[in-house]
Amino acid sequence: MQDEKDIIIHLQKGDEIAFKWVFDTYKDRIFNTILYMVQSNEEAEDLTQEVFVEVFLSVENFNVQSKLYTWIYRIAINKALNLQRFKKAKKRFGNLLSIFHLSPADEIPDFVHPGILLENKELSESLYRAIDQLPEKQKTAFVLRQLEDLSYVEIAEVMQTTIPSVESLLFRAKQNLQKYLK
Amino acid sequence: MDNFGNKKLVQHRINAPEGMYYQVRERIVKERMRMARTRQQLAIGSALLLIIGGVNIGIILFSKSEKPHKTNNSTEQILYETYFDNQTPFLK
Repeated sequence: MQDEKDIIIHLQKGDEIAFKWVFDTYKDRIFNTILYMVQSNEEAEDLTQEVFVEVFLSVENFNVQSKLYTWIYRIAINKALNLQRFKKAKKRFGNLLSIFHLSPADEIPDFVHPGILLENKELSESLYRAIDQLPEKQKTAFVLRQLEDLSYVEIAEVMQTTIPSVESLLFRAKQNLQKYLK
Repeated sequence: MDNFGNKKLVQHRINAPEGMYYQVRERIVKERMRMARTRQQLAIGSALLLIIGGVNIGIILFSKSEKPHKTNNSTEQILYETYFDNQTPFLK
């Protein structure tokens, strides 16, 4: 099963072998992307599952001319951003409640990537904290470029934007990270 | 770390947890069942609405309004004639 169009056609027919192939090919990349975005192992696992459920159920509407993996990445990024928005809103509401002493605001613990060695933990904590502070679009572009190694064209396709816009987002993301990490 | 343009960040990659595929399959089955149930509920709801609407229209079309008995009281007689004799033929 090498030709992507073939795989999409099989997927659209509900072929489980094609789905298993897609899952095995992209699960690690999608899991890692989501992990960088949401910075929580459990949530990344849950969202990765959700992404593949959506891939299987909505592949009928997928345009064969587009690239499959950019579509899967787009679903993953959207789900991760939605979860983050929800978490931020919840945190804001929690802070509001804590002002009135109704409920204490929950502190989000620093994220430690499961793949990081013990001696690098401190450095990685500050790096992930800085990445988490970036605005949504900058964070997405940065994760896809620096951590997922996607090309500018691919990032533009995933984010449904132009290449100059991706370049600008990455430039600003780097500037902001340097500022946060000083 | 201070020059992202030239240096690549260390990519900390881990594998997705084992057994995830079976959890995904389970979720797909559950999601399909939920979608089927929603479709079924929609179909039942639409059918019920159609039946209720049909019954209501039937009642309106086939019901005959009952006229009160004529009385010898002149005031009532005038009211009766003013009201019922000016109605549309549908209500007569």
